Amino acid sequence: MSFPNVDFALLSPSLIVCITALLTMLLVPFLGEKRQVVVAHLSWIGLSIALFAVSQQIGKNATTFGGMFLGDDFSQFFSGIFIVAAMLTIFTSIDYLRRKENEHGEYYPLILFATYGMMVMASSSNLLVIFLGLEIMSVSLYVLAGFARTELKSTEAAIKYFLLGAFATGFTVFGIAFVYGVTGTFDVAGIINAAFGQSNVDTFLIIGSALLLIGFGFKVAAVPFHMWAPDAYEGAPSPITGFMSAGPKAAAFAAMLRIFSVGFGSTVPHLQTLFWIVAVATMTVGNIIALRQNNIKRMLAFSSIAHAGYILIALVVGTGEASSAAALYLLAYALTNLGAFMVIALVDSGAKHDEFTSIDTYTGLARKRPFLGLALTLFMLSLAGFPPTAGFMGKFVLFKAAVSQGFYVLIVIAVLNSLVSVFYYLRVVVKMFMTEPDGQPVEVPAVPVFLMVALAFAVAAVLLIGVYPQGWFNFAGLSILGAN
Amino acid sequence: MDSAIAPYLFYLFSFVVVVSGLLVVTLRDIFHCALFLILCLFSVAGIYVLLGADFIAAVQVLLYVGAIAVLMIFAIMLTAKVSGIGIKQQNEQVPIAIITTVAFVAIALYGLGKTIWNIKTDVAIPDNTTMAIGKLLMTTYVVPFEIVSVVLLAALIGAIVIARRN
Repeated sequence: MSFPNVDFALLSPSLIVCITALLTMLLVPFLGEKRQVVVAHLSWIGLSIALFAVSQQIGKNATTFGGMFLGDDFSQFFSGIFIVAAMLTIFTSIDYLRRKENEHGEYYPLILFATYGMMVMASSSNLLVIFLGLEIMSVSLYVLAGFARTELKSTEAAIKYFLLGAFATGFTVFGIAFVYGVTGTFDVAGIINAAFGQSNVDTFLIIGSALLLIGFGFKVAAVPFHMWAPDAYEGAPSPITGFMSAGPKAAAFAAMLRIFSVGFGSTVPHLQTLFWIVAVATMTVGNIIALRQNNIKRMLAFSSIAHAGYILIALVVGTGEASSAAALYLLAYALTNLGAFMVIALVDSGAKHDEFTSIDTYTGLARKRPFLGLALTLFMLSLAGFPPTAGFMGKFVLFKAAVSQGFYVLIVIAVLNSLVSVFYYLRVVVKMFMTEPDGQPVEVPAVPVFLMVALAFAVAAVLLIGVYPQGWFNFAGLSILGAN
Repeated sequence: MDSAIAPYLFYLFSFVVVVSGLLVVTLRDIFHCALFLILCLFSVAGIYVLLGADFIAAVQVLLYVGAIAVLMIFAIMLTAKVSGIGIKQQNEQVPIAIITTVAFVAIALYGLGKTIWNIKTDVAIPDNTTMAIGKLLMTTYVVPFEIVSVVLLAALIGAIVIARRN
């Protein structure tokens, strides 16, 4: 019996996030009602230290705790996405919560806990640890979705998200139990070793993998497990909706890429076919229903479902190139969506309740506030996949990876879907630039300093990845090559 | 455990688990549902005992029966007008649910015969599993063990946030 070797430097990014969460949480009761914003500032400072720690761990590709905790570039890449997503969310939230008169400091530690959970998910190939990370993330998000407790819709979002999320957890645990029962290990590499080379793979390994797919399918809102997403996205406070679509989605995909694309997918028969069907259904259903939405948060919820469908292509293809393409796609999508939700949160915070989330609210916005309009236009173009934005690059590398493996039908469907999606993204742009409001135009608050910084960062990042993707792609590529 | 009667006990416990589980989701009085849930959880503890997992069985009784189920009954007692009235537990999705469940059971039964489970026959089951579990939690599984505490903490804060007064 020996205590496993501990490499604290490797653990430092996630530890810093966790410790920041604990400290800020302890601080909340000692701050008066008026000074809760201090928690927000301490939180983003802690996150920036964690981001620095991540940058120090790049290239190490080491493991600790007997292989339970991985510090490869894959986990550093995703940890970076989660931390940046959390920081941008905090910057968006400061003014939003004040205007909604919902300034409770616990909000920020919960975001940090969710971030910690995501980092755990991306930093292990052990199903047990991945599951626990998933739970930390989910539990925090259930509460955050219902944080606007006086809003009926927010409570509804939290309850629906919680009930269906808990249901999905059952599938995940069931799947893990079956896989463990057949292979005798929680470790993905061990599972593949146990299953690889056998003439006929055990039926329960297939059932277990399918159950895992269902569990994670819920988390990324893949069709037919997407029912919770529109209500949860619509009801949650706007900055949290942005966070939900960026961080947790990336975390669930990081775990899926770890589990399914390092060989699981090709080892277990039928799994690739299942992924193909789910991917096509997800992008098609998401895009078609998004066409009919009049609430911008709801529309972006369906858009987020559609994007999950595109990213699932990487799991169908299952090559290293596809995985790095998915990583780049998730980075691009996270930054774009966070940016879009900054504008949405700002517009939304103009009213005390949630009456400013309809697309009609944006009528003529660009004429009054050209910079806001241009920023939102850029994000919409990026979501639709126009060059020279990050969204275009994400789609380009992902589709290229699929075509190089001969998945022509899949890519034709994906491209047709992208074309459909242009319609509803551009509808927002048309509203902002080319229509006049009927009556009194909506009063959009001035952009506060922190939101300004975050918005500038998001715009710059979306353009930078769009114009110069090579560096990011190399990093994303490295990150996967370093896996295991 | 006398190995001759162990299989019969297993089938007895399993039967009780399934029947009481079904009653939990079909009975109309929420109080009766809670009582059958206790029975269900107790029978699961019985299966753990049969498997030689005494520690897990004790935890099952202590936590699920002792804490969670009792908490539920308290919640029912303290909530006005929730016990005694019939609550409809079915909706129009029952047929789909039945088809899905039957399909899953069929696939599982089919797979049961075709699967070689990874059973370690060369390891003797210890008389007392508590110490072995404790050692594993502090060595091999120390990462999950520590992370669980964060799960609980996050859940605790979440519960307080949701329950606080405005």
